[in-house]
Amino acid sequence: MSLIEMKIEHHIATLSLNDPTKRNCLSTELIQQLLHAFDACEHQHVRVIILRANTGNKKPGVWSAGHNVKEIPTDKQDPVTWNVPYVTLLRKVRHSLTPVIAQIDGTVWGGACDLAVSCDMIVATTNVTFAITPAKLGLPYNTVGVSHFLGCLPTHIVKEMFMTAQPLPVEKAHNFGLVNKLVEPDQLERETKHLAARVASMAPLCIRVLKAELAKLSDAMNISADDFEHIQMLRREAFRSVDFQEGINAFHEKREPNFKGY
Amino acid sequence: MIQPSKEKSPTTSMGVVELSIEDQVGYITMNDYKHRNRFSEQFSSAMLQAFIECEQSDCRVVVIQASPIDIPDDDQHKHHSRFVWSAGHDIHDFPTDQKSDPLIWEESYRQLTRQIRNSHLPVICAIQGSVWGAGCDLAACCDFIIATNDVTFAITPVKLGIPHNLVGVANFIHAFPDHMLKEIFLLAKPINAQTAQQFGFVNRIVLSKNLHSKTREFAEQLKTVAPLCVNAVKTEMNMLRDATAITTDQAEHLAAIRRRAYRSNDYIEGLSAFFEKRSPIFKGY
Repeated sequence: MSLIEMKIEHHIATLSLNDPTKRNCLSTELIQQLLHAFDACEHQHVRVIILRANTGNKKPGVWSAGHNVKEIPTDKQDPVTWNVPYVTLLRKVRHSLTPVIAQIDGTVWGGACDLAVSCDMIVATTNVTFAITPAKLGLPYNTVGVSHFLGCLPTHIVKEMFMTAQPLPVEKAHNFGLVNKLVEPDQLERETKHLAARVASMAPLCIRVLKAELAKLSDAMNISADDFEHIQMLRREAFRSVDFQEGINAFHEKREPNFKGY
Repeated sequence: MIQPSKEKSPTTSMGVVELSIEDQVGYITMNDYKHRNRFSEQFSSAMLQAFIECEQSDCRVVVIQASPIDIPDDDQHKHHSRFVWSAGHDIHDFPTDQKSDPLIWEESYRQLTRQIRNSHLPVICAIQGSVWGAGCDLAACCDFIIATNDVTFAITPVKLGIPHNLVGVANFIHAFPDHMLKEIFLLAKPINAQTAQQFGFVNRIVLSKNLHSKTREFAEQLKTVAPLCVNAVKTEMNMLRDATAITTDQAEHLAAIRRRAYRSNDYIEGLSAFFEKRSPIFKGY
């Protein structure tokens, strides 16, 4: 069974995360397939990509659980590096010149939250929440990842999300402009298609330029060499700590972590 | 006053780093004959301590110098001066687990170069002999360099298979023109005092017997200018140089490229070759 379903109609590609039994977690395999699907869209001159998820029969479901925690290395190496599949996927979504609309019904966790934030627009239902949870896992998030959120939400809200790991309700996300359209579940598909069709009817070459311009401008949060190496030190302290192991263990054992600060 | 010792092995109780403050000039003398002034964690930490002591005193200028280390019969250095100013990083300190970054922000050596570069005091580097790797980086972080004729600078991490870090490269970006810098970094090619002066890396070349007096003269000049203005100009220049900022994505990309290098077999090969005193055979993985 394919972990990604792809359908192309009228220049609009619909990509569906299709691993509901694993709550559509962003496993290496799923990401590889999703990257291939993105490439295929580019080759076929798709004008808009809709990213959605098959969430199974339980409603409201999980849009995506985020990182596959089993794949996170805890052997003292940096768990979130530039070339891990997950970070590669986010770069693909941001730097692909085809606009990506996230169509979300269900809860969005951890890495998937960054994926949603990295899409160009979001249409969400009243069932949606967004939670970014690395601090609960004891995992020091990467600097680029944090910068994605700063572009999309007010600073205090970003801090609250990261530092409490608590889900942001969709109404707030909509008020702050993270979510473009907030709809009832039965309207989701129609509203997303409507938005996608509108974008697809614009001049494709201009859309490509806009996407490139916005990506470059929003990435333009610069950092000095020294600041970056300082941050790497702080991250290294975190991913080599006992707390990181504790966070991962607590996740697997489905209990609250007991962090000590070392 | 510390006179550069002519004796081979200093037996002073003052340890590997000596500090003397004389007439508002702080003289920090590297004196680790046995280890050729290698920047081990301990040595760097002693240097840092001495430097901070200068900053907290009434010093107006700091001079960093070394007792001459005479190595006339050394094969490894036969093409260079018979003196070593500093052999650079202590290679023994580099991790060999193929997981850890060998050059990190918090190591004492990097704290020292940061302290020098960001100091409110002007810092003169007085050099005789060959300068290797981290010694060059330290010299680049000083504000002025006074060198003797026999000085050579060599930046050798590519020979060791060590991916140089971002700050280490940034410290040199305006010190030499790009093409020259690439020769220096990519070929680990030593350059002599004359070439270094031609490109403005070295301020003065002096005779070895005059090194101390000329350095002292230079320091005296710096005492005649307004300290707060020196601080302002130094800070301004640092900030302008640091304005070569990069995006966070680029920074993480660089981190990934470096990680690939220090996790490679070549990294181990470079270190092994160094310890076995042979040329490394690099494969590219």
